Amino acid sequence: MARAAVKMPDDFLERIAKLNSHFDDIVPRVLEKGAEPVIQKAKSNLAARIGQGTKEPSQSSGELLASLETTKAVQDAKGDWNLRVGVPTTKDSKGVSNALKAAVLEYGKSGQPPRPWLKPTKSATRKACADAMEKALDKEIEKL
Amino acid sequence: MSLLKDLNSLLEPIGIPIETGIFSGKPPDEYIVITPMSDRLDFFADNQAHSVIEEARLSLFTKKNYQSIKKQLTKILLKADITITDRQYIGFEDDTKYHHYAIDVLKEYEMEES
Repeated sequence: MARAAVKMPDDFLERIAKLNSHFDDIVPRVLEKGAEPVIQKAKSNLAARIGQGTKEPSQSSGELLASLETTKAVQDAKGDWNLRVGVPTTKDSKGVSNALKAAVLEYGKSGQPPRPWLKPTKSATRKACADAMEKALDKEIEKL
Repeated sequence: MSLLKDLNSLLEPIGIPIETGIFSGKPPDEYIVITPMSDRLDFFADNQAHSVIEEARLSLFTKKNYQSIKKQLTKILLKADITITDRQYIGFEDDTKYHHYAIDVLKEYEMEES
């Protein structure tokens, strides 16, 4: 049987080995870059939905919009890295959960139409997020 | 065709009142509200978009058991080649006594010639 052996260039192999050893340092930075277009779009979508079509003039204090955040990247029990873009369970100055307000806006309730802001953000930024992470990863690999 | 048109014609035979955006008038014990979510151009070639991806959310409100209608809606949507991107029980509304269930759907259409 014919046999072929392919030898990878030494510097490439060294970089792969370095990437493996630096993986846990690099991933959080890559995830943070990927979150940037997502949080931008989420902010603009949420700002557009707050107070939209309300029966009474909007009394928005801006606290929900200000609570929108990107968490730090953390590793879960399976070893996967996760970063969350969203509204935390913190309460506003009136004691109302920001996450609850965000969910009611997103899904509505009987008598209150949904004003989706999170799902359209997810759909619209999927590609931009992947592109940003790809670029960031390329940059990190170049540094190795 | 559009997703809204498709959804209305597909779900009309079920006999549950359906409205888009907001349910006007006094809501019955069971109703559906369709909310358009996104309408993106995709599949570019020769600087032209060749498809439109439309997404919408079906909000089912019912004072009865929601399981059977959920299954029926899912079956109808999948049979019509509509992609279900999410199904979620939102909760029971104490004040109105409605169960709230959301189904997010997506369909890709060919770009119409102008």
